[in-house]
Amino acid sequence: MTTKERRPKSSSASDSVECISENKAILTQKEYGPTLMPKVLVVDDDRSIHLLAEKALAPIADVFTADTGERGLSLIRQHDFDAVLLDIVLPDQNGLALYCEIREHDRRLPVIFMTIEATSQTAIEAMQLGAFDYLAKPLSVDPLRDLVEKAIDQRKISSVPVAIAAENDLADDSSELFIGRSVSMLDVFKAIGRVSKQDVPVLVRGESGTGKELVARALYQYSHRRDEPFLAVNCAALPDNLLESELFGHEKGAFTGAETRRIGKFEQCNGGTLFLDEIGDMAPSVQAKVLRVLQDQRFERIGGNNELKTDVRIIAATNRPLEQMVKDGEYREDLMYRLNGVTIELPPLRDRAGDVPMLVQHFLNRAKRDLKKPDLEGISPETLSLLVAYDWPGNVRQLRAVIRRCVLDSVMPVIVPDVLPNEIAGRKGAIGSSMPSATAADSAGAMLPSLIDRLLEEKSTNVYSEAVEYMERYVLLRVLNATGGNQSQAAEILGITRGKLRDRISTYNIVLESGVTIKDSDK
Amino acid sequence: MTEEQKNRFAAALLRVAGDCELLAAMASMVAEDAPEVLNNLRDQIALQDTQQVASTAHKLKGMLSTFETAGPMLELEELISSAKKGHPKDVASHFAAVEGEIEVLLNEICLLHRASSNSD
Repeated sequence: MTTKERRPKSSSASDSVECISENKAILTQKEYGPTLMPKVLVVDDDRSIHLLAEKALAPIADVFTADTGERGLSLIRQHDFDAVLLDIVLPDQNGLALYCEIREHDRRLPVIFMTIEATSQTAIEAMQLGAFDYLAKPLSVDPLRDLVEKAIDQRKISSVPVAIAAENDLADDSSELFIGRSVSMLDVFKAIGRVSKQDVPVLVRGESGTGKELVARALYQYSHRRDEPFLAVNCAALPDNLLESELFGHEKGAFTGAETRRIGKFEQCNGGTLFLDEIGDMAPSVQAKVLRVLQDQRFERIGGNNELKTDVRIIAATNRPLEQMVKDGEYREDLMYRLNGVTIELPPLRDRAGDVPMLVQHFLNRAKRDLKKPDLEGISPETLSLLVAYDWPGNVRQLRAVIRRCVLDSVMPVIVPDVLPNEIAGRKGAIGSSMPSATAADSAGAMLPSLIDRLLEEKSTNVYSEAVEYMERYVLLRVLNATGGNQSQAAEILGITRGKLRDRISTYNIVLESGVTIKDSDK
Repeated sequence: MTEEQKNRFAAALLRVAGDCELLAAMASMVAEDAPEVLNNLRDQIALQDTQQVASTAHKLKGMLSTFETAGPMLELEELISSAKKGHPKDVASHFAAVEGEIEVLLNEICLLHRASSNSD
């Protein structure tokens, strides 16, 4: 029920009675008799502001007014207000100081600051203190009413018991990986238990953000190698030649720039566990060397003649279709079979929505502690319903980011749907539906700044990924255009494998026409 | 409220959602309260009490900004800034530049109130 539905009443001058009269009309209340109308207090020494607020808010609230901080505080102690409009500069004290006293009395009471002195410094200070919002004078009737109505609604939502309470103490400080009771996650836990102590390679598969590295770390923690090193390498993050050097090391003078000998990860990690993330993005030459290590634990540094022996357990991860890549000749079949002797498949979060509340609880507790929000009480039932209903394309990583962002953005002790990103709250302008389209301007990459502006405005928690995706798409289109659609040339120019290029072309639905024209189909 | 006044205070009317009655009622209050605030400001400037000047000028700006946000309000902002910095000469200079404009604006606000009273 919105506040407007509660009871719009006439607000003629005869409705007003003076409750206290000192100097000028200091405190007036509409005499409605017993009423369920929300109560709003306006603290300002300008009586024309009192009048404006009374008129503007008459349809949604009973308005009380005070012309000094002292009187305002006195009223707050006597009445149960639903929102406060507070001038920052008052005749007897600073509004910010008064705000702190109001918070001590009732920390759920939304306080909206008003001032003619609309400096960024004051606004920042007010919001840092936890103000509900900040209005610059001169006030306008409609935005004022909308904002106060929103504050009243949030006050109401904040007053109901929370669906999930944010705890001060982290009773369970374990990894987020172990949060979940779904059958698919229980299978993951069981698999970790089964294979952790066996010295076999493990392939962890799952969508981005499902926690593949956490599984690798758990396998390591529960293994016999737990006291030895654990190193992680992202195979997609390095160009092929650098990846090879990173993994196997090089001798001095092996190539231009190799001024000293470098010890690679396989050597550094002797006795330990090496996590190879994005294993599907490895060039064939590196695949062959990794296969050899897997087979007989032997390798040579780049430019070296000595065969080195190592004792490394490999845990690999990918979200790419290795079987299809093998069929397409992009991935070594023998390497794939070596890697996936034991495979742990992580389910996407949308397939285990029942685990969302537990994960929310976990991230909420952490954010409360990390972001120093002692007043945070929890999440409202409506907010939790929206979180559970969302399909989470970025999986657990996205959920964690959303909860942290909500905790940061929320000025109320209870997180309400208003602070959720648009795509989760189901509001218009959701990111998924407004991805940049393949217009000429888009192809030219000109939309990147506005894309980022919009994502920030929409409180997206996926800005990095969206921006990188946009940029990658642009780079591919540009280079493919330059090569007339020749993928081998494009791959060479881009410095990636043909397989990776084909994968990206498929990911972004780029259609090559007549070998020359590149048509970017709608996503 | 005459058509001329509606044009003059078009932005203010927009802020009060076109409610001429409300704007006139606010004008009545400001017409009654602002002269005293302006006189206090004059006295404090004469006494070079920059701390009080900043506070009083702030209050005056708040009252008048309902009706006007440009011209004299910008000059008042400069005055407040100088007062906060404790520069009485600059304050006096800004006040000399803006005093006439404030009086004109106050007169217009008084007329707004009177026009409304006459039409009742």
